[in-house]
Amino acid sequence: MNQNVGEEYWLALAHAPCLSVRRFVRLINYFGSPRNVFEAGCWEWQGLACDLRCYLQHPNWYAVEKDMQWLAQPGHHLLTLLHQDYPRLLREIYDPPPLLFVQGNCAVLSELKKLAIVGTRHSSPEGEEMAQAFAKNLSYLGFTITGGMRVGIESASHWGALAGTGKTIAVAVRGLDVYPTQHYVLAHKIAEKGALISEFPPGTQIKRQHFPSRCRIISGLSLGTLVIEAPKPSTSILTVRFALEQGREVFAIPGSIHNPLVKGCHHLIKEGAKLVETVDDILEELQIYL
Amino acid sequence: MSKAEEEYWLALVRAPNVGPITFQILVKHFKSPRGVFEADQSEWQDLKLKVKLKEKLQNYLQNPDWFAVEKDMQWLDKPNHHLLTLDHPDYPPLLRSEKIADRPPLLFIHGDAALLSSKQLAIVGTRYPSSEGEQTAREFAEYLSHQGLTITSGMALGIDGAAHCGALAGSGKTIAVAGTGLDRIYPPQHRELAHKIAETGALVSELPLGTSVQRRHFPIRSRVVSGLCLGTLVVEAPERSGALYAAKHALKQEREVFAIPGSINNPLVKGCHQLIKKKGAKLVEKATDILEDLQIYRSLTTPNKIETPHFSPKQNTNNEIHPVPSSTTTDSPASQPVRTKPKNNPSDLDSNDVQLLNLLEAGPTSIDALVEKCGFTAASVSSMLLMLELRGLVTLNPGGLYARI
Repeated sequence: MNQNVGEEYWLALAHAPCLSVRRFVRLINYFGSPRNVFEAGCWEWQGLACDLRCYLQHPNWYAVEKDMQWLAQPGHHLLTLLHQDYPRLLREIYDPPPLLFVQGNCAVLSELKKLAIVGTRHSSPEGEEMAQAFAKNLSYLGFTITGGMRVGIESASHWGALAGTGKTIAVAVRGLDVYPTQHYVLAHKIAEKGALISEFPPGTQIKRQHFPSRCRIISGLSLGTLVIEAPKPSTSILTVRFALEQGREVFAIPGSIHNPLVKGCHHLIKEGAKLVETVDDILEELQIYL
Repeated sequence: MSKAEEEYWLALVRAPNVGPITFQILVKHFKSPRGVFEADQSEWQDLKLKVKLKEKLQNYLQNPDWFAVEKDMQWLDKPNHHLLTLDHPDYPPLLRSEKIADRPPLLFIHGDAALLSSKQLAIVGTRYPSSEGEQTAREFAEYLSHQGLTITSGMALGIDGAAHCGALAGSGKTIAVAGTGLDRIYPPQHRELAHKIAETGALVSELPLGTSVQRRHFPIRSRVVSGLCLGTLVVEAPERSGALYAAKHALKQEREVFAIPGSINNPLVKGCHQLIKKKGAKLVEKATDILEDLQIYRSLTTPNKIETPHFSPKQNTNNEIHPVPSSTTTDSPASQPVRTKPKNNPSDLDSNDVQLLNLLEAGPTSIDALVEKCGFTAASVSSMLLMLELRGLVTLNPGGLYARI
């Protein structure tokens, strides 16, 4: 853990109210480390917002203490932006989360070959089968499958990856101390073989704005995003939007034109996403990174 | 006099070993087909052709097949029969394009010759489509023909035939490019369809009358299909389908290529997917995608109304044209969808259940579509589906779509 110098200060800064991810990173860039932020003193804080100045004088050490207790448990890790295991691809995006809470295998995160598989929550059995098959084959080819552990396509792809080599990363929308009831078993399995990650400290409840923020992590972790079944206005399309903003590849699986579930996929292909029939189509496109 | 000129064209096109390119070299060198026949030895010497070919040609020119030409002229005398030579002002401008080096020197036409210069879209596909594919072809053709596009295809079985049927049900403007001489019809199942096309559309062939069915003519015919059109829509084509020739030619001729996708588990759309992936074909979901791309906004229908119209069975029965169509799909095994892995039905099902299961082979289908296709009452179809569902043969997908397991 010596990598995370001054973990407490990172955590304390993460609990600051009204501190956006970008501001967090700018503070660190300016002061060098979170510890320096706290130790800089009133004079240096003058440019900061009033709320933040108040917080820096009285940080929430109680919450930090609880976080530290959570981290002390086996298999729980904290990756700060400057940690060497922090996923390289994620660090490159516009607004990388300064902290990642990890439950499971940290090594999975630092690997380069990652692919996100996303799709609708209201999937057809055929779509889920496809997700599972693609995830399994890709995982045997050395890919780590990332996703949001949502019902439907995403959980199917996690199961597929678990059936393969087991390397899979699920990005949660809340603190990692609360397991989603629906996916209790899946979450456990992922924590065993892969990794559950969250940018939110333990104890954080679900909020609406967490969902888009998770999408950016899913796409940011991955070389590309594969969309299986997405009716048009869908969260999976949001992941794709982030992937495009982050300059990552986008793949989509087509379907019958009478199938409303693939409208989004077709839309993406028309806009330039790569049509995928087999795993080879993905490998071909990602060849340069591998 | 002008007749006589035509006769020389007809005689020259029948010369052995003279394809479209040689034909154009000859006409360019001797100014006109008549010039080819009347040229003297010195002019022949300047001509850059292989010696052997020259000899063969000169042999033929001494004794051209005037008898066949006479018969051609008789055919042309009949009403509605036309001949367009490459230098004719009505020769379709798109086909005359420089990009098509081997454009046909002659076009035999049965029907409306002016149609050849109209805006056209080719709809091509496999000869063994699924019933869903056939319906898609028909709906697209009907809708697009209403929008003012002429639908061009090769009059083959399957998708081609369905496209012609759709266009006939629409505005009736459709062009069939035949792979034989126009005095015969291939495939014979499409005799009635061909007559209908000749009435409101046009049958076209570059091959002289009397040319019989030959395998090699079909890929060549594809270049005329794509050459006449602004774009080519591939509806269903497995890998290495003959329908892909039209797409290949269209790409070579720098025309648009459109393809309709399908499930990745459906072998019938592999060719379409290849085109989208490798050749930059445009993925098409609805007919408006094509219109937008070709920038044809003829009708001012509101955007929401431009959905592809649903095909109503009534229209089908009122029209007496169905050589191929879906109403026969269930009883003729030839038009059954081709699958790589046909699913085995349990032996104790009665024929109606089997028919229903076969209809479901095409992919998830709504109960309304099933009722429409199989002709049973809605009540009986829903009870049959329930029984099949209880037996674990079909499943109800989200959106009320039934699918085979």
